[in-house]
Amino acid sequence: MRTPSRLLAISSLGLALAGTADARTRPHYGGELRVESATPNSSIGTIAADFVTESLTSIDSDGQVQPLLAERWDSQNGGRRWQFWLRTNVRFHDGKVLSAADVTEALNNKRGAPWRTVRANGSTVIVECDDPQLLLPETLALRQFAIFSTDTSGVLIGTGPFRLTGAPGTSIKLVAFDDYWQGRTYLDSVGVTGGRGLRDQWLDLSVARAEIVEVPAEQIRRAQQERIRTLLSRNMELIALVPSTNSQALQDARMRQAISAAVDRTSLLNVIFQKQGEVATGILPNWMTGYDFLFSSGQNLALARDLRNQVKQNGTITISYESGDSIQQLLAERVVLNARDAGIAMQSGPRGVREVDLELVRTSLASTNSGLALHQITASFLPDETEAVAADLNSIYADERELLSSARIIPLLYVPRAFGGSPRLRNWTLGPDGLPAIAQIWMEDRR
Amino acid sequence: MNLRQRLLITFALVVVIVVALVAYAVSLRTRSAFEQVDQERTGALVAEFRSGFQSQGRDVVRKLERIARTDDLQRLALESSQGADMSLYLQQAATMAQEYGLDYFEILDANGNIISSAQWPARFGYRENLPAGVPSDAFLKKVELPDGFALGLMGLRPVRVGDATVYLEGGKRLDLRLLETLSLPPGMYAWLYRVNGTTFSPSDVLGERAEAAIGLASLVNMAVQSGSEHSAVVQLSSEKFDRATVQAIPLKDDSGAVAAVLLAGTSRRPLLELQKNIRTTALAVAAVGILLGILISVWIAARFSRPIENLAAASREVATGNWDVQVESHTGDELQELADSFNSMTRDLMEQRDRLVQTERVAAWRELARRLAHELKNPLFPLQLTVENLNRARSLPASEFDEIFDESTATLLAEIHNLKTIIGRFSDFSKMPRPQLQPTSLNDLVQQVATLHQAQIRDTPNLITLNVEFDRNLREIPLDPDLMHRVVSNLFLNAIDAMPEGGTLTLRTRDRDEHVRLEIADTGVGLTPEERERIFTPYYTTKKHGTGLGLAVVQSIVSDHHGSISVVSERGQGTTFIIDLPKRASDSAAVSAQTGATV
Repeated sequence: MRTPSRLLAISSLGLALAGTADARTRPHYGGELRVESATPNSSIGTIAADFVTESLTSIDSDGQVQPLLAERWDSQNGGRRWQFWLRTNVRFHDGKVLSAADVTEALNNKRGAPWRTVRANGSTVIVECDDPQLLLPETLALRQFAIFSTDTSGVLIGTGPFRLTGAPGTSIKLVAFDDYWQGRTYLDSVGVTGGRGLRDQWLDLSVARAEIVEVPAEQIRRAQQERIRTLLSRNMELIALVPSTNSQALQDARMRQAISAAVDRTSLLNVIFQKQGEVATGILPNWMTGYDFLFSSGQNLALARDLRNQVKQNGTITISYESGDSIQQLLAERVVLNARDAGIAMQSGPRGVREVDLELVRTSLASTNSGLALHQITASFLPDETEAVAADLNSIYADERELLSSARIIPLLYVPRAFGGSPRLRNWTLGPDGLPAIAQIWMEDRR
Repeated sequence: MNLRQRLLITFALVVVIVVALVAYAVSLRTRSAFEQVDQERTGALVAEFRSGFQSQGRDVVRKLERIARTDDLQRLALESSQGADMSLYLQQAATMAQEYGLDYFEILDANGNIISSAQWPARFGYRENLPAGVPSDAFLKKVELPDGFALGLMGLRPVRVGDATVYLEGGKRLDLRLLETLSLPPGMYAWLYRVNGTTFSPSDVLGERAEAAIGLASLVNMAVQSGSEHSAVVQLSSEKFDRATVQAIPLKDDSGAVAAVLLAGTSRRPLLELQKNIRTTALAVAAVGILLGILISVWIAARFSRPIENLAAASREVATGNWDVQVESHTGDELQELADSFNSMTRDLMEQRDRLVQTERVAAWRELARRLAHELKNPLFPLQLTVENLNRARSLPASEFDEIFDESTATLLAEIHNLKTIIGRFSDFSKMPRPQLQPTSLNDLVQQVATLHQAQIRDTPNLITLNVEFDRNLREIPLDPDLMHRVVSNLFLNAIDAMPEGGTLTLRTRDRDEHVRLEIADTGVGLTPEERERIFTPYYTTKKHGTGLGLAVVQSIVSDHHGSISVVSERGQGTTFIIDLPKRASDSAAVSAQTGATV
């Protein structure tokens, strides 16, 4: 065969190949996404709930509230009465259409809810509060106020893009919900396996037994060195010291301030987390508030010693960390060393072993809304001192300043959330909450 | 103490002393032997420990050298010199420590700042105190840990890449594992004390029987303070035999300070138990010996001392005057010879006494006959002359015959009266009446005699002073007042007769337990020993006149009263007659009848 035929054949072959290649890079349905986590199997239901349930609203990456199950809303009486109009095309996983009654039932008797009553009013939901709740829509975006029910076997029934199969507590499988109101996801299913150690997760990723694995902040550089495809969120995890309200040794604010001044946060960030993150001078990260520079963060041993000498220390202060968490143990021991340099007698130990004066905590921001985030942090660690959610930045700043000056919470670092992903993943991003936006993912076929 | 008791005590003492000496010698020798063995065993244990210590040290150094040659460390050293971010190596030390089997491992930069620490990861950036120079051998070091200190056998090795240097400091924990490598024979102990501060703490003692730690305190303190080896006997528990000889060997760290003390102990239980057995055996032997001594002494008593005691008792009998004593002995040896000789002696003494008594009796009869003849001759001679005179006067005229007849009859009657008097005295002596006892005051009786003879005292040519010393507490005693009056009177008059030149006559009464004493003393010429011997013999007298029966009568009356009389006298010193009379009529045995003279 001479050139034209050959050319035609070659061209056809090339076009076919190009088409195939193009087809492979275009989003397509199918595939099971396998996600692994170190979270114990007994607790991975909370991870899966993110993909199974939805709230009336959501918060975007800028901290702005967006409609979700509720299309719009309105408030009266200075934020004491709110009315939410529901979307009409939303179905639960069992096929039932979302109604105001369902929302009412889901929201009434919620723990920590700022409202007094929730009632249906036609296709709208009326929420009434005793105090003004100017950020009620933002509050409703919190995971704890998701709209769901459970069936007779205890399986979660939500409106999310995936539905849950299998009993909670085992390796969870999420199956794409065909009637999802925003359209079926590309993925057919998601399998979430908990209790996997980090080395095992990375090994599974490398041999294509998993598509998404965890990358702790302190391992980000190592993951990158090992050529793991890594996605980092903004600095979403707060590592802080929380003095116990029952601690005699830390009753005096000067001792708490002395501890705060003694800690070398820069070393913690540079060495333990290899500069992945930022030094936390405020309780909220700088990307959220922008006024981080107003607070001091550097180690000041002279100030620490001076404050410590003003207070009579009774006994050795104990700092606790999460049992089995080597990074937390390392952080706690470093804090102990810094404290001893300032003349403060301190010792560390895993939680539950002895009475605790100071807790080392690691928590994720509950929301990208600064007021809500601060409120949630305060509610978690100082439930008796929690006030209403601050709506404006000045109030947020004032609340944060007051907490920092009294050293009721001693922020140390903000670190990002990170995940390692398979090269097959496409359209893989992290949501505003720092978790993988699984609903948007599609996977390349295996080669 | 008699012979048997002395023999028993002597024998027992000999046995006890010999057994004690032997037991002491054996005990001493045993202890010496044990201590020598203990020293050898302890020395071997210490040598084994040192060998194990050095071996582990060499192992540590070898591991550090191997780590230093790895690519990871070479790269780390290079990056360190280039100012690279060392935070990536934060966990490197822990990984390598686990890989190479080290308990402690740190990677230090050229200035000693910690890059990575296996035992205390949080100490990154802190400076470690490096010893001056790089020691070639392993050394002891107190390793800082989050919860305190521990003792480590450490090594230090540099990693040099060009101009870049990092240091590797690592080692093994000095703990029970090192002690467990020692092969401890039964009865031997090993402890390791980790020096942690200036005060001894039992919790820093590692090893078996850690509960014995309290007993090691002073020994450990000595070793730590002096820095040199010491040994002592240590009580390990409250049980008496649970003691050990412990040697403390201080182990010094790189700075020369005592970081740990190795304690090697050997139980003294076998020695103590053996000593106890020796003592028990010695006591048993001594007890058996004493029992044997008792048996032997009993045998000796039967065989030897009883015959000697019998002889001694017989001798005492002889000494008291009972010569009619015979000693039985059938030993067939010298003791029997002695007994036979004694018996022969007493028989001879009896015979001689009998002969002496017979002789004295004969002598007394001769003396009596002489006295009688002498007494009777005096009145008989004038009787004879008078009768001869009458016979001659028969031829004279009646008027001259009548005158001579009247004179002669008067003389005859007078001399016949003398004869009757003499014979009456003899008759009186031969038939002394039995005393009629009645309660009588001796003081009053003596006073009566003194009053009666006061005139005679006054009539003496030279002054005689009467001295009366009566015991006013004397009660009445059973006496025959008449006979006792006679006794006192006789002695009173004899005392006057004994002081022709004057003197002092003393009458004294005393209350003496079961009897009453009467003393009649003069300061006259006194008696010779011969006179004292014979003064109570009938018809013996020192006077020119007298029958010689006065004191014999006195003795007889006193004897009839169940009393006793004795005389104390020396020539020229005077004479004292002592009469003891019973207070009660039935106490005749309380007052022995003393015969003869006493001084």
